[in-house]
Amino acid sequence: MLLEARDIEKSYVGSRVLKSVSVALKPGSITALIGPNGAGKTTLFDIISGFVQADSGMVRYSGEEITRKPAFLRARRGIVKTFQIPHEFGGLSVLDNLLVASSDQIGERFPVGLWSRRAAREQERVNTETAYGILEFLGLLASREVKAETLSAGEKKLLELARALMLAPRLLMLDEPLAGVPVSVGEQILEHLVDIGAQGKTLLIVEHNLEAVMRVADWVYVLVDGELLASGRPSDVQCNERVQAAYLGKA
Amino acid sequence: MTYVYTVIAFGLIYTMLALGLNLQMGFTGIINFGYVAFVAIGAYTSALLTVDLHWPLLAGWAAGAALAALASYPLGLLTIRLGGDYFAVVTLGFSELALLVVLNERQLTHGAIGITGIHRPFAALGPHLSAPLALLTIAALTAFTAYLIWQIGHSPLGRLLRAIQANESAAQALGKNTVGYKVLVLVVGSAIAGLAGALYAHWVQYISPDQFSPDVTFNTFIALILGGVGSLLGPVIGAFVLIFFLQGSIVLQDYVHIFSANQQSALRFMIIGLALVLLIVFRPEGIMGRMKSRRSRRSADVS
Ligand SMILES: Nc1ncnc2c1ncn2[C@@H]1O[C@H](COP(=O)(O)OP(=O)(O)O)[C@@H](O)[C@H]1O
Ligand SMILES: [Mg+2]
Repeated sequence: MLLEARDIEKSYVGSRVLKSVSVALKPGSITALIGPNGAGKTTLFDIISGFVQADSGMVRYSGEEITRKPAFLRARRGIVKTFQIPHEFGGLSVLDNLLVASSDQIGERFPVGLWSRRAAREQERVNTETAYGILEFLGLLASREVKAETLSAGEKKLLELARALMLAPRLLMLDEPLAGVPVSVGEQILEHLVDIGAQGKTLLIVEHNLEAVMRVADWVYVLVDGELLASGRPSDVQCNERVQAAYLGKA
Repeated sequence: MTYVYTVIAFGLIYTMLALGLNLQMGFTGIINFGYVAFVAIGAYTSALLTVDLHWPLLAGWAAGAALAALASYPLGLLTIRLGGDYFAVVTLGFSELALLVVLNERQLTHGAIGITGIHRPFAALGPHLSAPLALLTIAALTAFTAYLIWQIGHSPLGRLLRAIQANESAAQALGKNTVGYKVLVLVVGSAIAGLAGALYAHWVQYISPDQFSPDVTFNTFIALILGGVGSLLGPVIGAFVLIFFLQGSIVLQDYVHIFSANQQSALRFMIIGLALVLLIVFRPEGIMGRMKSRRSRRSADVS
């Protein structure tokens, strides 16, 4: 297993948001996490990516326990998540949003970056090429020089994804990546996600568009009121009566 | 002539202070209400080392900057995680504490009496030569600081700092050690404040605790806001506008006798306050802000 979260418990004042939740992600798989609003999906994402500490339980990644590792170190190890609510760097251009994301930048080191300027520029050139490729694919290339804060909500979701792709993560976690994105672009993104999965990367996706998720996922977890209601192959989960009653019925 | 030199020297020293604060507040979004503490550490370190221990002047300056940086490091490690507002309050407390230490550790700091006989650079050449040469030295160091800040502003590091300011969580999600970078910015900004403090001490040649009241922090914020927070040239313009105004109104005091001295200084702050309010309402990007954004738009068109 590339990632394992076991017996995760989380409470916020008075309410148990996650009740002994366990998930496991196979390397190279696409796993979907579905469930109604308020089920605890984003909270589980935050615990896996290190933005929220679980009350108990443990997270293991690539054979190493990372339960207490800070978020930025997990990102460096290849666990990269996007935010459900876009977290763009508003005052920066779209291109700069992507360039910031590049890892191990010489120009970010102090004070070395201030005099290793040739090496920094060369690295910047390579990163810019990568960024152009990603922006082109997501249809954001024409907007590369505008400030990120001026993008539409859907474009911001795409930017969120674009930035994550800059890091070439091993485990890419997407929190509702298609929300607010035009359907045609959404279709393309899904295809691309399948490609990414085929390249051996592991994906964990929270998505409300069930039909879409069922199409690309190898495995599905259904979270309802902080409890895992079911898990299995998409076809099995879709037939599960409890799931239909608790989630599909409501949706 | 001496008076003109002093106005320019103060303008340059406030420029340097505003540059360091701009790195913290303008680039990274760190609000440091205790900025003057690091100015005081720089001033006292250099003054004590050169006067009491007869260190060479440059060594005193370097030690002043280094000690200010060193003091900010544990403070940053302990408190920068607290988040913006709490950090601002803690730094304000820190600067009050620093002032108390200076007042009470008389053995070390000479207490309220202060330190006299601090040398100007090139003092050996006599007062006529030493003043302009000292001024040139201050100008050169201010220019170097401005160059350093400009370099940071145009590097991937500056871009990352602005990203951290815009959204710290997003930067963390991309693998950036945001706490480390904020501590770094605090330390570098404090070194700049410490150096400015040392330069100040060696220009005025006498320091005492009352010169390092929170007014210095306040004035630096005003200079930065006047010039344009986050803009690269803003601190220079803002610092000189502030110093010309402050010094100009003091000179005027000698010729205009409508108000008492107390009323005059109150009036001064009222005018500054009014100017700030008007500026924030009509030109929130500061005096230099508009030019900066025009330039960045132009460079966007080119690429
Ligand atoms: N920081 C927080 N403080 C208090 N309650 C929270 C916090 N974050 C989430 N919650 C609560 O936890 C529950 C699960 O939220 P969330 O994980 O965002 O669900 P989902 O992503 O499945 O919609 C919700 O009831 C939400 O109100
Ligand atoms: Mg959610």
